[in-house]
Amino acid sequence: MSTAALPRRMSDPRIRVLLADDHVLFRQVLKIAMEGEAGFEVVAEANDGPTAIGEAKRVAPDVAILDLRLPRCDGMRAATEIIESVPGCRVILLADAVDEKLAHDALAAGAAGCLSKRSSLDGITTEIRSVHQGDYAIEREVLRPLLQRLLNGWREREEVFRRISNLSPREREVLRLLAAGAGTDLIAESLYVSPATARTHIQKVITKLGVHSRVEVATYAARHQVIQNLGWML
Amino acid sequence: MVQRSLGVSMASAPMSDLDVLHGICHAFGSTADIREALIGTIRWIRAAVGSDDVPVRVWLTDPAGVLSLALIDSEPGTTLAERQALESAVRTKRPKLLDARADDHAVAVLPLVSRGTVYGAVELRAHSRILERRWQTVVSVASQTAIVLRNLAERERAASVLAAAGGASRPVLVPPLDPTDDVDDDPRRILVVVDQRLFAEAIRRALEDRGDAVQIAADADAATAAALVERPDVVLVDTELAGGSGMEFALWVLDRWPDTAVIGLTASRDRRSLDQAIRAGFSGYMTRDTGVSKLIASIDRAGRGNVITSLDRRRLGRESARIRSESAVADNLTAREMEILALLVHGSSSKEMARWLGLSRHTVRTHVQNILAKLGAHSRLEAATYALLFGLVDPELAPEIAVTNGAP
Repeated sequence: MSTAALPRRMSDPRIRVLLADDHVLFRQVLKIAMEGEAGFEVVAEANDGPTAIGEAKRVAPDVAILDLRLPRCDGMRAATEIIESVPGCRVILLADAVDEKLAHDALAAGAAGCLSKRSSLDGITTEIRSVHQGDYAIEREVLRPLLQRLLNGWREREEVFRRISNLSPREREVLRLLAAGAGTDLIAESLYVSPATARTHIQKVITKLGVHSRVEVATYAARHQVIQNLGWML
Repeated sequence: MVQRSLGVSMASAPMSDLDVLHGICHAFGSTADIREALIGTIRWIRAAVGSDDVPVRVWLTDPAGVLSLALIDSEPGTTLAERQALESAVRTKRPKLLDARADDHAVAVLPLVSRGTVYGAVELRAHSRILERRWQTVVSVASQTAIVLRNLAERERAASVLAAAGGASRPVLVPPLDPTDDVDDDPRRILVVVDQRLFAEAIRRALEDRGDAVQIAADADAATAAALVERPDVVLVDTELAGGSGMEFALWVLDRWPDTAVIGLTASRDRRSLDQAIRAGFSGYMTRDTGVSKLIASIDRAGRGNVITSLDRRRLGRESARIRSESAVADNLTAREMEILALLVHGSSSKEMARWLGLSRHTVRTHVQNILAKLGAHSRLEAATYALLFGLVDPELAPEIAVTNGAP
């Protein structure tokens, strides 16, 4: 925190907010409501994504509240940009309705929350305050499916990791080559073995990964991003 | 006179029998609660009238006005056939029941309150051929109901009026509240019909800060119930509520209480509905990019009993349907044209305008012609009306402009 900003921030504990929404009436009444008893200071407003990014850089708000469907650069992209370029600024995406995919994407983009316009005013202001304190704000009803989604992803990665761990060093090489689209001859040549031996290795890989063909090996690797995430094992 | 101030013409109602006294309940929520509340209401009416013979029929309707549920109670001895005949009669007459006003003898609206929640309202209407004595009885009950209604906090006062008159067993004649009484002291009653909760609550907070009494409803059902109970001065309605119910509700309000200022809100980028709104007699229409100052100006104008409501908004609406969007209209006018438009609203002649603005009459006429062309108006009067209709000119401001420009 800069020393110049310190006295003002200490004397005025109000949370400084950026509001970005192209529905002007909504944005303005929300500003009035938030600045009333709720104790926020709306320091900047924006009508579209690029303006939101520019204003966030200019005023460095405590919290940026971005409509998901901002014109010219949607809220998700604006969020990514603001999180990267405005350190300390917490970002909340505001959507007409929130599902677990949206919440997941928002968190993955680095946002601190994803809230629905179906929420109450008091609910939203409470959430903004807790986000400012460092919490994450996710609509309660998507919390379970969101956790389920994260958990499933985690279990899936565990399973992929387990299956690849079962492969011998040779078989891992075969997997890498199969994932790259290599045929039996190329694999045999690369490993300095006979085509028959290569076929044996390939069959082992197919069995250990629990798939049915060499094509499925390639799609398995692609679907689970084996080369990107587990390339170090191969 | 009781009858006069209720807007009921006794002469037009042949009074031979208490033919039909039925209620329409725009209700939602738990059916059991509503039934309980309705039966309570019927008992209350019978007790107040002092007779168990008074036929009280209560209908539950959905807010679109289609009779969906049944007679809750009927006078003893009604056969099933009679009841069915009555139901079908009411069903056939339904559009009339909902549309008619002056000749409909609406006498009371009862809020249905259960455990502090207003579930809906029963509207009591006395129809034709009513014995004078009984008619007055009904009116007296109704007038007290009106007291309850106008201010729920006055419920106790209404009860004490009943008690002072010898309890609820004897009919009492109490003059109804004059609808024009203390209207100025009341906060403006604003009903906000918006399904997006955050938006609705933010509007309420913003308007309450100005001293308005704001109620919000998330759908047409709740809005209808609230409108019957609160009788709002201003209705802000999202015209894109699910299934067109927002527009339907707005039309219902305008048809029933033409003096209500209905302001359309739209969150979508589609502006086509503006035409429909203007045709329907809306006082204002807020598109996605209109700001809160415009909204507040529209509400204030409506609250001042503005010029527009005294004109025939429906006809004007039809005429102005070709105007695509208010902001487009405003953007098209130059500053000078806006000045002249303000003077037009004030009723200035070309000669006066020429003198005030220091222009030749010929130039003024050219400006006026340009304004007419841009607004798509055929006359100065029409242009002035559009200016008010679209909020291009504040009617209160016009004389000031004239004065400031008028001192040579």
